[in-house]
Amino acid sequence: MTSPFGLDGRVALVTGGTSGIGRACVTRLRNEGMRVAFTGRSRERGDALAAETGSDFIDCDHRDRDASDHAVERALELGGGRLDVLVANAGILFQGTIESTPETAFRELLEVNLTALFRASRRCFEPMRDQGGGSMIHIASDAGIRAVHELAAYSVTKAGVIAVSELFGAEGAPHGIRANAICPGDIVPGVQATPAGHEDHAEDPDSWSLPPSGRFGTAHDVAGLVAWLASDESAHMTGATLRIDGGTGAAMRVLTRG
Amino acid sequence: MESPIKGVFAARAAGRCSMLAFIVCGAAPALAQQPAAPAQSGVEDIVVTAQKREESLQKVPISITAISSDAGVWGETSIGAYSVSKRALNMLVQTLAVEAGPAGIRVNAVCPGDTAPGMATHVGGRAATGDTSGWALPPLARVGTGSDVAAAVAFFASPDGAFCNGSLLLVDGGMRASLRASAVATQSGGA
Repeated sequence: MTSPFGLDGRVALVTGGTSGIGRACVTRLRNEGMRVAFTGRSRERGDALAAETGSDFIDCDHRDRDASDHAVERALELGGGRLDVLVANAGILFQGTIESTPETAFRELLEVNLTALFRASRRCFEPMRDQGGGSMIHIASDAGIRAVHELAAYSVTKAGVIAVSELFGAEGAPHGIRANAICPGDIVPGVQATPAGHEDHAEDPDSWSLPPSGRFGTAHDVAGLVAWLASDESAHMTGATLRIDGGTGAAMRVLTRG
Repeated sequence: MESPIKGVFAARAAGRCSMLAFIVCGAAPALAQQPAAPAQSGVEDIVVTAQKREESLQKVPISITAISSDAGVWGETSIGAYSVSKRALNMLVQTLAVEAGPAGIRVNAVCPGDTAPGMATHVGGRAATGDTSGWALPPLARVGTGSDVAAAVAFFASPDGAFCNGSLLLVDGGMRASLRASAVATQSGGA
């Protein structure tokens, strides 16, 4: 299949690709004809997705800094030193107010959501520059634009992700490197990855109210935006922060249908 | 300035006297001019100082003010990691403002622009030169001073700031007010 986006044969790395938004991105970018490597913590899910889509799974927990660095190196190897698209998606979530957030959980969120994303982006900068360009896509959150105070630590890390993306956008632009931050609103089934020992902090959409669009977002929605940002169709987009939330963030107290 | 009290909640519990608590996060240029305040690095290093007043001016006297940066509002590539940390700090301030508000605790951030003599504490202990002559000037055609920042902190801490909560106050001479604000002073021949 020829990609209408012209992505055939290009090389992508998706972090946190074994579930949720990351998984949808792996599938979508493969369907666009890209060569895709992805990281994840579950070997079982990773191997299955790799076999299903013809992509490369790299077993990696981004809490482990060495493993995280090594995974990026492995992806560059698999691409023969080339990397056109980085989808920095791996993230974990902790439900709690700022006062109730244990420091261990705060640090773990910082490590995975912000530091690992920064390190991966920084490592990809040079090969992207040497090959004449590339697209970094950072999966932030609407909570990074306006805090969701019950997701305090998560909001803090995602605000940092937006700043990282803007700065790589500014710094990479002269080299043809683009960087954009995607800010999904409520996506079902929600973020399931949490700090160790806090598995009960995964998101539960049962308590959510619908966005103005009348439905929750899906990973598929986000993957469509990722494909567009990966492609030359968005060649002049960089340093941008894009909400994808069904209108939730468009006004402070939005009306909800039905 | 009285002795540091560990934790603002301790400060709140300390008595009925009206107290103004300052929480200072991050190494800020303003602090370079205040020997009483130790150099800070990282959000976990928190110094809270409290000041007694003769009488209670408000029912709700606790105010936390973080020293953030204009780089946390609009980042700069030359100080990228710093910009990221200050953006995260601004979000922390707003998160805490929502959470602590019902307890009568206001949380705000002052976001200074270029402030002389520049930050003294750098990663690895490198000292700033203190030479501000090469700095681009904001529309007000001068660099900021520690007093400019202190005045903003005093405002947040005072009864005048009683309804400010979750505010990010730029004290930058207008540098972040426009895309090319740094060219204005030069073009108009200011300072």
